[in-house]
Amino acid sequence: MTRYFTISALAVVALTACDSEKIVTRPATSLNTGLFRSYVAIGNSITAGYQSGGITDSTQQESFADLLAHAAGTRYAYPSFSAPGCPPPIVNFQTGARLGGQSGSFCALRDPSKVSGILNNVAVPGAAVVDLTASTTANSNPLTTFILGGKTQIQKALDASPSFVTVEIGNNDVLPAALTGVPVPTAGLSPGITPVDSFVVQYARAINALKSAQPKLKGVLLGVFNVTLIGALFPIDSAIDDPVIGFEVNAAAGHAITYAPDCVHSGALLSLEVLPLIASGQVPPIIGCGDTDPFTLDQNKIALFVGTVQAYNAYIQVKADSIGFVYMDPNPLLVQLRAIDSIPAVPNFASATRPFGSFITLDGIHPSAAAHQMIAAAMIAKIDSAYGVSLSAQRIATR
Amino acid sequence: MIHTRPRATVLGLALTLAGVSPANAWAQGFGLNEIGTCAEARGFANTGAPCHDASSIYWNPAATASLPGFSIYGGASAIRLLGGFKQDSTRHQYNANVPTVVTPAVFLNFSNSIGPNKYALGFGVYVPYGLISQWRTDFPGRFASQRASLQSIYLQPNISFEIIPSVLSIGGGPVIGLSSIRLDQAQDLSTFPVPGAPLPGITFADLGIAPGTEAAVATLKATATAPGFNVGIHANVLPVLQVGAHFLSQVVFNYKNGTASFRQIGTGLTLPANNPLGVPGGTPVDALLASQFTGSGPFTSQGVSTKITHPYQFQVGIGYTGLSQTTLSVDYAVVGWSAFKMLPINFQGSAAANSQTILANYVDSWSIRSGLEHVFGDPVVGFIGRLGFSYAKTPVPRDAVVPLLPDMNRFNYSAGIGYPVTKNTAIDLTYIHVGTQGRRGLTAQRTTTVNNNLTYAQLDDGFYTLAANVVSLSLKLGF
Repeated sequence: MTRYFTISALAVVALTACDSEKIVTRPATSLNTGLFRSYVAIGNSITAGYQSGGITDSTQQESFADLLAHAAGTRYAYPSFSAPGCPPPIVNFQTGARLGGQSGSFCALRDPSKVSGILNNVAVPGAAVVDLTASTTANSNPLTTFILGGKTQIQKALDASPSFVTVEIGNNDVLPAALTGVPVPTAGLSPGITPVDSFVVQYARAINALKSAQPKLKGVLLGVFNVTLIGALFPIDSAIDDPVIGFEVNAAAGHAITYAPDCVHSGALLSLEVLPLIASGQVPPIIGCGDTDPFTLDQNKIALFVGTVQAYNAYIQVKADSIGFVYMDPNPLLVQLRAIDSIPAVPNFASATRPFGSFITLDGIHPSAAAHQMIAAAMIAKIDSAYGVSLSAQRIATR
Repeated sequence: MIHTRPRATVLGLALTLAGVSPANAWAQGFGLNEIGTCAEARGFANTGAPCHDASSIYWNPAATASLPGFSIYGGASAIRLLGGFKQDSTRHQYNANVPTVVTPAVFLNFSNSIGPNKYALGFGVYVPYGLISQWRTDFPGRFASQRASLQSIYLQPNISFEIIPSVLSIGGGPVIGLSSIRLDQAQDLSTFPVPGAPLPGITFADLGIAPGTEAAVATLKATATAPGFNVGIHANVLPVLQVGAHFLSQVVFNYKNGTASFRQIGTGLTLPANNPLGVPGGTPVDALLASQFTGSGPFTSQGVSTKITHPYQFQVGIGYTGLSQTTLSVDYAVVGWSAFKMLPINFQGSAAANSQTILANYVDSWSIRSGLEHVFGDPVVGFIGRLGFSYAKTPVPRDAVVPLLPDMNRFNYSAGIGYPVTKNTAIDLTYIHVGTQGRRGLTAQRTTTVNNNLTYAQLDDGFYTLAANVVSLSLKLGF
């Protein structure tokens, strides 16, 4: 669900080339020779295992896709990124320090010992629905090449002749617009929301391509997250009403922020993305909460985003039902965690390592290992019920 | 212009030149035993009690002195291979696509006597080493070898002489070897170095190009000529017991006049925007590579040289004729495959910097061979039935079980007949089935610089199977 980033300079570490890889082949079972004969995970940064603004082998191993493959006992080759990552994940929320002391433009490239011609996880951070079937789009980023090597996700997925897929796409069709508070395409600021009719066409094209090539394909279509519930968007009233939070927000922005009157008790959400922009002087320290004001979501915009996600998910569910796939809505989980404050409504700016609780990582967007385990467990329950199998949820805990 | 280096080519060419593949399923390494239909039916146990035909010029040059007058023996063997590979990671079965191979053998011999001592002069043309291998285009090991052929024809003048009349004879002659090789090998884009990378050693695989992305096909052709010799000794130690041995020397072929050519294959890949190569989104990868195949690019035609040692063969055998109109024979053979430790591949053009040496590390191998022949009816012009069995121990260590030669121990079962058309003319027909138990192996291969730091466990990725059916037909003429 990350926004794309740019690796401005290809910083690399020396690697020893390897012409072969060893994927552990687990003992044959009715699962990994049947429904999960060949599993492929399609999606965006969540499926890829992106956390805390970065991706590296250890975070990739925490993806729900890895957990699901492990539970099914099936082959699982993923495009492993060597430590410290590509880019390295953030390890300190307050300082922005990244793993290995590297910058956000650093990439340690793929781990040559795990290079595989056939991948079981083809998800690309930053991908939106259009990216599933298009070679190059505005969302393309260096990871697109590193992971897909010139193919589309669907092409790469079909290389594995999948018998089972999970498709988790659509978050990046709303998230960048939500984080900038600008739902319409605006050059240099926001790609806008992908219109629902376009989303439907592109989603159908991707799923139909899979089914056309693999008519017996089964799988799970994961719904889009309600982006207004993520940690990176928090109630602006908390910064206005609570002097401690207000102080912490000002400290993060490096300036005393002035809030427009229309923000007071408006129920609007403030995007964390604006704070470093204020700090760097790119944006003045004045926040408005009108329909056209950037970096905030007023009630109208919140309704727009929520409604769009609901429309996306309504279609995804219909599509899943029509092809015998399982539909899984992730939002009940998200709502549940918010309800019990496991995902706090307001970030804890005083915490360097857990500002968003234990289920959201340091970028305020991406799920943590614990959240991936919850997603995997819920998905396994759905699969077991729909397909009459018995995936070993126990294995998730031992992964 | 992007310049990459054909590293995979070097690998592949080298092993191809090693000369072998599933096609040579009937002997160890890239050896061929299909030399004479009668000998094949007898399970190749043909040194102590050779077939009574001119193929003895190869099997035991000393035994030709006992042949009558002028004799000709010529024919061919058709070899059909059934090979495959099952990959661990995908559980996919890849079958070899080897065309039927025909190997000829022709021998002429003239015997006479000087006093009580017989002698013989002869000439043989045979193929003791060779192969043809071909895999389908989806085989993951095609980057080691897509198609390979090696044919080494030996020309051997021969002379033999009875030292003790009807008891002990010796013989032999020089060998002139004519060898030709060809390899078609897919080139894996993922192994190419990335041009302009900030540090050396960065390949396209590091940038996400999948292993097994075929970007070109290399074709290598070369010929060579080299000398050797073949000698033998034969003795009738008892009226019903014969012994014999022959030694075919090692022959070292230096292929100095080879040519390597390259043909670009479309990858169908398109680079997305913001790619690490810094080219515009939508740029076809093939367009980036096109310059590699023209001008001074590394994938332009150039010379190449290598050296392949064809190992010595030593075979000793015993034949028993104490049963009525029946010959029982047992032979033991050793082939000096330890001479084949590595294989240098030296490009002589723009890819010279990528010359490499393939690691083979073969070991000497042995085989045990047995045969039974019975003449039905008239002992001179009767119908002949033959049976044979042999076991051949592979010379290939487990680390070298690769697409070019996924060699394994072999069990050869043979049966044949000899049909007398006239008093001076006969036709021999033989069928051989080559069976194996299969063997684990690799689709990648080692050179002194590639994969040499990986363990066997890291490279071992599947299971090779191998079987072959051989039909051999020869005409025997005597005057």
